[in-house]
Amino acid sequence: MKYTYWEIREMVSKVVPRMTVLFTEKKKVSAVREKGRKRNYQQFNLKESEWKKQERLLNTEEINSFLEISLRAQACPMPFNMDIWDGLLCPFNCIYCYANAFRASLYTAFFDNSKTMGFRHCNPTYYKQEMDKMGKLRALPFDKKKELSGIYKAFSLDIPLRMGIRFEDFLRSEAREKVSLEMLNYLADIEYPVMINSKSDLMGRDDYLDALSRNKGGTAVHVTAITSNNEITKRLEPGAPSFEKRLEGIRNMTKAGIRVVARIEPYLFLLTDEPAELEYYMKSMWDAGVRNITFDTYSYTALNPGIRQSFINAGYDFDRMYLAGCDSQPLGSLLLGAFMQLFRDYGFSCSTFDMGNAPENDQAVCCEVGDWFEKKGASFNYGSTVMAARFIQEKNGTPVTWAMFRDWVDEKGGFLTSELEQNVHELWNLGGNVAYSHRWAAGLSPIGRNDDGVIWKWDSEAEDYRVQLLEDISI
Amino acid sequence: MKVSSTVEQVFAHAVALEQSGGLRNTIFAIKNRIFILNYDHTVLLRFKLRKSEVPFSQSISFRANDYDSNEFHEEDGKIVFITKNGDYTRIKKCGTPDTTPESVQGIFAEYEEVDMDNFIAITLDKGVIPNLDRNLSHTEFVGKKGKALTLIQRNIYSGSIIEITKGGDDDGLLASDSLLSADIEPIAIKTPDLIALFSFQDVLTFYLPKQGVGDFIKVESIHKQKRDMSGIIACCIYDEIIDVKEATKPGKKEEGGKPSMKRRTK
Repeated sequence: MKYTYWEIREMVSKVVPRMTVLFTEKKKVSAVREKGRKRNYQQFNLKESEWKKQERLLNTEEINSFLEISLRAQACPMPFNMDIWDGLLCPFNCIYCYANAFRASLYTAFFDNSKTMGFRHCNPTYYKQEMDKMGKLRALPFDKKKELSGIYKAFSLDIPLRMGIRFEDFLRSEAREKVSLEMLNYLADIEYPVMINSKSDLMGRDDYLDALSRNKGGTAVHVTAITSNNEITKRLEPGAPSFEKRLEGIRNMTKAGIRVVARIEPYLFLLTDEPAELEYYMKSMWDAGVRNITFDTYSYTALNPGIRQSFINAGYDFDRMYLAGCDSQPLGSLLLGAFMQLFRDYGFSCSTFDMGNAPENDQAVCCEVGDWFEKKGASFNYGSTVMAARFIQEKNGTPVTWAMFRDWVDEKGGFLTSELEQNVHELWNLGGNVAYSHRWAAGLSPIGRNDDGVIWKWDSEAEDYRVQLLEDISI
Repeated sequence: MKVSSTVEQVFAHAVALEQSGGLRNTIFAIKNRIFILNYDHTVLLRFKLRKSEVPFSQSISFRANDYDSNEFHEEDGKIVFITKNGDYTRIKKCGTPDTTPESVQGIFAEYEEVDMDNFIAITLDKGVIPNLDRNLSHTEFVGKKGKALTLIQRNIYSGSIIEITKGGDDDGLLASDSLLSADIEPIAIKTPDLIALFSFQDVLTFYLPKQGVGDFIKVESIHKQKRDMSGIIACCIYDEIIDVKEATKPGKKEEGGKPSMKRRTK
């Protein structure tokens, strides 16, 4: 890269300013403006001549869902999810997380009893019964697996299951009830690959270590830790374990032979990038046995008045961080790419879901687990735009058509659904949700069209549009 | 109390601004002063009543969006708006903000009582607004000693830059015989805040801090006989810090957070 992270940080600081205020005052933050459902609402039924209570109740004990393919599957190589735990509010209470706001909005809008739900979890018996029925799919010949669709295809191809995508699965309630542990043991029994996203240190406990390490299908754990600064951690993640606690869990897992990937998501411009803290972070992670890190910028979805006010209440300028690190895709991507380079220079293998940096990723699978699971026979969602960017890049200057990519995906097992194939094809042709398009990948350019749409080419010498943009506005 | 039509106009502007998404405001009234404070506490405007207008008999405050009638009073910590429609009377009761009119007046006074030798005055009129790109978050004031002032907007999405000058390319926002006597602090205003100021007055004088002496702007209406408006705007600054800070008043040390590592120079 033309500039170091510190040079880019300084340049971006000169184009995206910090707000000052006339005076500071903490304001109340609510996760969501509630829709005002009536309580104890009754309607008089004329036919039966009696009052009837009108209410819709959420099952507060159990999640009725099952395995699912993520709505982000058009971009994500690992979109196979399994929800274990759920609740209205996650007690880690990370102020940058928009999942609490989403759940609060959804549950309070449609259900009358959401505030009493506490934590609920899946029915592991049901999960295991259904997955037992699906077990035979894994033994099908490859050609038969290709004919399947959705979760059946994903399961048959051993695409790793992901836990902790929507909710933290390793809270104190889990330590007591051991539902996640039951599912981990089941997956170990059937040797099915699994990957966890968590901020907890619970996975470092012996019973969890055993379930994770004995799984011959492979287990990997993403431990989110966005900073080593405990003061910032307390402000941003007030209910989550400290950096040291997380390190302790990580140490136990790496000793037990589990792939642990540190997760820096979201990367927060000017907040989690102080040199001394980064140095401490890298040394601590390295000493704990971590060799892989995955990163991402803040999400567009985070633009939520409650999240903004939470940052301001914590003393941080949300607008500056959001504008530079996320809203401007080129600036956010450029900052993140240079930030990742600091970790690469230390020796870590680094990847990101940020499409601008996908060509620079050290692994094709941006979760930094491709090597880990592939050697154990697992598969991935190759029909996604992150993989498309890598496929075009690997052709090293040769024009790449949709048919070439589609055939390659087919060799790997095919698209997970026909709808997904359509979505990815649309993104290939510069349509669809632009946020997930490989058009952002530095070095990739559309160079022509054929009957299937755009023809792409990778040019390692191409001028980086992100650097160009920053230079243009720095005049 | 029932307020005059001119006072109601000030309130109406504040309400309109809120509803158009320009500024979310709180209104404070105390004696012969009205203050409008935006949600982020980056803009505080003060309007002085004319001598012919009746001062407020009691201090009062309410959120602009609650405003319902020119007849209102405070009762048991609530603001009560009264509207008579034919034979009917509509009463709207609303909560009041936590900040008091007295404290807002005190904050304004703190910023007002600074040495004006530290500032450079420029005049802008409403004609500048159509030149601004409302989609860009900030508008910068860029000025060097011996040169004219320019407004700049940087498009962090496309890489383009908008420069706004008055008159010819080289004239800047000041006439050529009024070149800046000193460098001004590299500062920006949030574009919606800048646009909102011109809802109240068509021509405004901006007092920009000289380099290194502060990071807030004073603004005043030119035609005070029409509407006596003054304002304080907390600026946006170009250092490498993310903490929200209180605007530094000339002669005062920065409070809270870490000291600025660097200052932007263009």
